[in-house]
Amino acid sequence: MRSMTVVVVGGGVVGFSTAVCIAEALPYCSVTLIADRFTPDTTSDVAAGIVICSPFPDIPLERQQRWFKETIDHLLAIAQSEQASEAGVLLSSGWQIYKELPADKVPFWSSFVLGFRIMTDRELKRFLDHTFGQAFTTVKCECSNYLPWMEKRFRKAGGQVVKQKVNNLQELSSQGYDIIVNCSGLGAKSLVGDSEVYPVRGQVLKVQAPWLQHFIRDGEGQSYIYPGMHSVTVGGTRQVDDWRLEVDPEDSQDILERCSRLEPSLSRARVLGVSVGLRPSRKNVRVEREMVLLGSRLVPVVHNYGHGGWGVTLSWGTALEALGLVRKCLHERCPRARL
Amino acid sequence: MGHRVRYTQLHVNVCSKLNGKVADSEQNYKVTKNGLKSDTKISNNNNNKSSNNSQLLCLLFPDMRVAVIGAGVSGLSTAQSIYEQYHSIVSPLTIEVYADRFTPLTTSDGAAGFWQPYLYDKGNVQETKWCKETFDYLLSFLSSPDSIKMGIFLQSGYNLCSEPAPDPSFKDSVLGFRQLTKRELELFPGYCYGWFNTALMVEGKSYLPWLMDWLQKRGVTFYQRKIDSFKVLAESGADVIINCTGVRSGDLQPDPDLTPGRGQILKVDAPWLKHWILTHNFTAGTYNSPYIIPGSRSVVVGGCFQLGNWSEQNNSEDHKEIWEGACQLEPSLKHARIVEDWSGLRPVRSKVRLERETMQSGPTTFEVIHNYGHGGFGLTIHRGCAQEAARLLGEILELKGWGPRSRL
Repeated sequence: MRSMTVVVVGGGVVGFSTAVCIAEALPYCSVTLIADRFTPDTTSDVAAGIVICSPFPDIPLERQQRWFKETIDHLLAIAQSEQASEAGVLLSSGWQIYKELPADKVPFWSSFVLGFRIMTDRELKRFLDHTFGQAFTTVKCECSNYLPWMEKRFRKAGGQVVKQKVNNLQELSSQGYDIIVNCSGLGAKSLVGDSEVYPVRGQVLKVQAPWLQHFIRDGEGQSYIYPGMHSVTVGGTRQVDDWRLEVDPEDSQDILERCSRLEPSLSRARVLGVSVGLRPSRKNVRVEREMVLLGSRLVPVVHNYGHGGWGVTLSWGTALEALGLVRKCLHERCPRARL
Repeated sequence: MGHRVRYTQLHVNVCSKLNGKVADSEQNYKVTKNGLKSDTKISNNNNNKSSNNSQLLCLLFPDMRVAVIGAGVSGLSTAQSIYEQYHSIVSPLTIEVYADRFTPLTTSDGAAGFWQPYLYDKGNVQETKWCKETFDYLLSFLSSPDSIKMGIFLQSGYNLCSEPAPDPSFKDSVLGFRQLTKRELELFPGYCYGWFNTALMVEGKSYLPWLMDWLQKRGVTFYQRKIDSFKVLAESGADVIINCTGVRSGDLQPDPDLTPGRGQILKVDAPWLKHWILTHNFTAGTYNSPYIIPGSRSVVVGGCFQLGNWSEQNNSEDHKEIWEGACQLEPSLKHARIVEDWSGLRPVRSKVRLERETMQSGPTTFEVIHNYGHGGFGLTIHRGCAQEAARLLGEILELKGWGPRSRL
């Protein structure tokens, strides 16, 4: 019997993570990744890639914890390997600080990052407006390196990459794919008509400040400083339903002012560039499968989109869950097939 | 004593730090046979020359020439402390720095610039105190606009041991000190115990030029030459000599306790590393175990600590051993580009020599303040020692009857 064909739509961190998971776990499947945009032009490329997140309101906490843990463990292993620099994955320590005591003093992922603890008074002294903080070590995953590295891994596992805009699932069904995996991020709004998907615009600056070794994140998530391999990402904005991809100079000024209050030395940093990304947001991320009637065929579709600002953070965990859903689809199609 | 004392008739603001008290006051001084006494009576009576006791001088501050030998972090920071503490009390105060090597060629320049004393101070509690003083001093600059020019920034990291060990001497000086968790130790196979904390970097290549600039702006002059003896400086008019000659102090005065602790480091391009990692091998000894210290420009990889080895040449066997040790500790280094090697001689001593010594030069005596022997923790301890050296200068001033009396 012929091998099953799987198509993954989307070339961002979720798309490639899912494609790699499937291709590596299911060697008897032929996996194709289709996207209209690839690195460096994806939303993931704009992201700083720090592994941190806020919980989705309606998804059981254990499930979110599993996603977080699986992603950070996967990235930690890369960070400690010879692949770290090529993959763009590094350990990052720092502080999440709050002006007022947060409702949740300990986030749901505190036991998955390294060395999580509450900041001492002496450490807080530096941050004049802030009264509470958490210190921990997490991972930073820079997609401008990670995506090419994942693509290499995907191809090595037999995957094929196609650059093409997909307008609707029908097109994919006509091409004969057995299973469709939808990692189209914000594109899901039109691709599958999901009106619950909306953009949250984020603008970030990349500055040259090689003396900065720690991340600083204001608990609200409005202001953050994330030192990376070659630059420091300074942000940000959270503009709901804002589709503008152009840089807004007022946002830049506002970001620099806010972040310089957190880290005064930033006023000495040279700005290398500014970029904008639209977080593919949804009240809850959608990781589930459904059977969709496309033309005359009933095609299994596995959805994995709507990660908002937590794409990198949940990429591997949700990819593994999507893989599980793909396996289920395959079992139902061919209960006796080797997978 | 044979010192020429110049009398100046001035009102000055006196900032007295001799007893650790800061007093801002305008004082008039009466000269007596024994030195200075404050006098609340103000008189402008120049005609009364009959008695020394009633001759009123507004100020009696002889000029003083301080010669600092050595332009590493100890020499420069001691010059700074002396200026800070005495420039408004002693007028004029001349400070000169003599050295055969200046930044970027000093031992302080080659060091990674990482603030951390040895794990244990072996009872040298004074040294722990000076290190802490230095940490707090550097920390205070973090929010200042100068911090980057000074090469000061925070960095966190890991101290790793292959067996459980007592907490280090610096645990209360650094920020956020804690034991390593099991998961963290899993990142470092071969090590089963250790600590995490946030410490400071003070990069010599930035800090020393900043210090020189600071001193130059305040009239301190620099001379590049090798000083062959303390006497030579005393004879040319130096009142007090500050000896910060580091590993080559023995050239000026034999010191059997001083020995070089040769270190070699590799400078590597690995910008993904954001933590320092120091391993400790209690049998091999301090610094004879791999360490990785990222800086603002490159990553420093070491280490070795060869007592008695005076060679400043890079050694290829040391290079190989250091590189292999570092790659085992941090596998991601395998793809890092090695920029260059550097070797330096740590001025090792059983304890820092920070004390006064009166020396003879013919019929006269002169004062020397020794401040050397900081081993591998010169940058770590520099401010505490510089302040202490300046305090010793204050002792000299008091003894000689210079400057305001301590009871002010």
